[in-house]
Amino acid sequence: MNGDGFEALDPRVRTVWLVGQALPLAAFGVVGGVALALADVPTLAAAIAAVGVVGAAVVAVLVRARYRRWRWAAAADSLELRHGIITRVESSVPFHRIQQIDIVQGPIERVLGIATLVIRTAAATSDGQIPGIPLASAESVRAALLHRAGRDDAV
Amino acid sequence: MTLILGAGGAGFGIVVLILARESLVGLVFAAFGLLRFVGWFFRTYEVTDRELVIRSGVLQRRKQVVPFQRVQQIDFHRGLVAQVFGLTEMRIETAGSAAGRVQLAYLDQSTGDALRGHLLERRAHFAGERVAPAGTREGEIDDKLAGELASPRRLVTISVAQLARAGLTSDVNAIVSSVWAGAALVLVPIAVLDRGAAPAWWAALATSTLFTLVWCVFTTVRFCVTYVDLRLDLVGDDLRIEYGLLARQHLSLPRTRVQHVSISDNLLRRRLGLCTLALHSAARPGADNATRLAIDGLVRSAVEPLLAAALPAVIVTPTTPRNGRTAPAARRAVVRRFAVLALVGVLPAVVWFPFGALGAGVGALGVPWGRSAHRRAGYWIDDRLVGFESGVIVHRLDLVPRARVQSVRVVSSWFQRRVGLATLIVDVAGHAPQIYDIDGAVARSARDGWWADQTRGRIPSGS
Repeated sequence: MNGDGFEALDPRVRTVWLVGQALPLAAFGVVGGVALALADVPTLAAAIAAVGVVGAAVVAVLVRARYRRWRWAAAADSLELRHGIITRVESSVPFHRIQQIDIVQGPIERVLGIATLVIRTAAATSDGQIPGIPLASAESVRAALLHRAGRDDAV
Repeated sequence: MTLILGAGGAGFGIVVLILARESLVGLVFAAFGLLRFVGWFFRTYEVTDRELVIRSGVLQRRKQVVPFQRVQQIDFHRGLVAQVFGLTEMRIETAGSAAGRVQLAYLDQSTGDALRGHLLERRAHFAGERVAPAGTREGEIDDKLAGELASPRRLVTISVAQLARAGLTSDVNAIVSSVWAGAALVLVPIAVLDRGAAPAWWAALATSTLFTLVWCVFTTVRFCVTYVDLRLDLVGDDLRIEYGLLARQHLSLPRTRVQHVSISDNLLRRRLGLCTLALHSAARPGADNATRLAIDGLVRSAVEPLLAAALPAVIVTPTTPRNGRTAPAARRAVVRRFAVLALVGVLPAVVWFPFGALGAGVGALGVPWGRSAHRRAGYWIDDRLVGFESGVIVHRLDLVPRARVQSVRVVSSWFQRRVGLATLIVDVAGHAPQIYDIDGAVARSARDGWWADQTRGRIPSGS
């Protein structure tokens, strides 16, 4: 983990986004469309199917852009996160405000062997989630960040 | 309270059973009463060395542990019935998103006061806020604490006349009257021009005026009843506010735990010189006002002396001059409002063509509105404080001591990026004040250099 340039996420996170978001949309479109077609409502069936498939396609295309945009770095005093395509978010979480860091894995992430680091400060609105950290290095990244967090407890 | 309810429910159920022979209804009442009684029986609280433990639940046991250190705010809520029986409900707010709010329903008033005093004292002890000078004995500190508790310092009272003025000019009323004024501005020329359907237009104007008046009077009365006899006291290091007639609220917030301060007013209140001052705690935002101590209807000139008296250690007065927003931001402010108003005005223009076309002209109001909003928006960023202000109809000023900032975000939409603007959001425990349409370069450089001068390690409370 270098402290200078920004780091990218693990490429496997793209699969998580695809399966987690695009797939349910496509499934909704297909299943809904088929069910409505069987129930003899062809126009609505076509509409639902179109919405589902088009939506899934849009999400799938955006996954690439989303992955390219996601960057994070451990700077001198703070953890810097950069993400977002249309609405870009650039957040700065100082180490001395980090209260705890959790390692979270959804079902797809567990299969692929990556995890999300959830960083909590005293503010509920702090944007502290880094997806796509390989599980093998998640513990060491967390330990390194917490080490820099020190033992400050100021609220 | 639940004991009384339970016994009452059971008794009522028995009476109904006997008298009406309506066994089903009676059984339902009796069962409800019995269930509440059993629930009360299983609800206990325990004060240990380091924490408050609350156990509840009959089938599903629940244990809530509140370490004294994490206590942010302790409030008392007394509904009408609770006041009759001399009871109170105690709500303890803790910091952070993971913890929640803890409720102790229906303690005796004196038990509640004693418990609150004990919790505050234990919290102060753990947070090291009362560090004894070497050689002081435990008893001496307690005497000093008792001395301060015995002589609270009254900071604010609000007379009924001021309360009525404040209630009449509340934010909701300001918005409602603005909408009415806009509608009247459109309806009057239409009624004059459209001779044929004039009575209908005048009737519409009359009904909307009547509705607005009745609404304003109703909200004013409700406001006065909610906030009557408002007092703000400083007791030791604790800021305590109480108000209310039917439901009396007692809120308290240690002044070292104030996260940020906001001063808000509206079009009407600005004329009268009134405002709302809110002191925010770190408690998780909830549905009611428990996360902040708000004085609604304070005289504007009284705010600075009050802040000086209540929060001497917290820097909430900017020392650097105010920065306004740039020209692209002015254009955006006007365009946003014009677009919203034109959208709203297009509907009558389409429905009641051709006279309704005047409705589309309401969009033109967006220009002075936007210009005024641009003049009123600004920010301060210095080494001790960050402040944001914005808004015309409802104006809000947020003041955050730098020591309370948890994290900083710069968010920019596609439209903002095209003109080099961004939104700066400052995350504080319990809230996230933000300012739209700051120059992007300024926002980013502020964020990049934000933490460089913050001390690492323990930040002194109140700084």
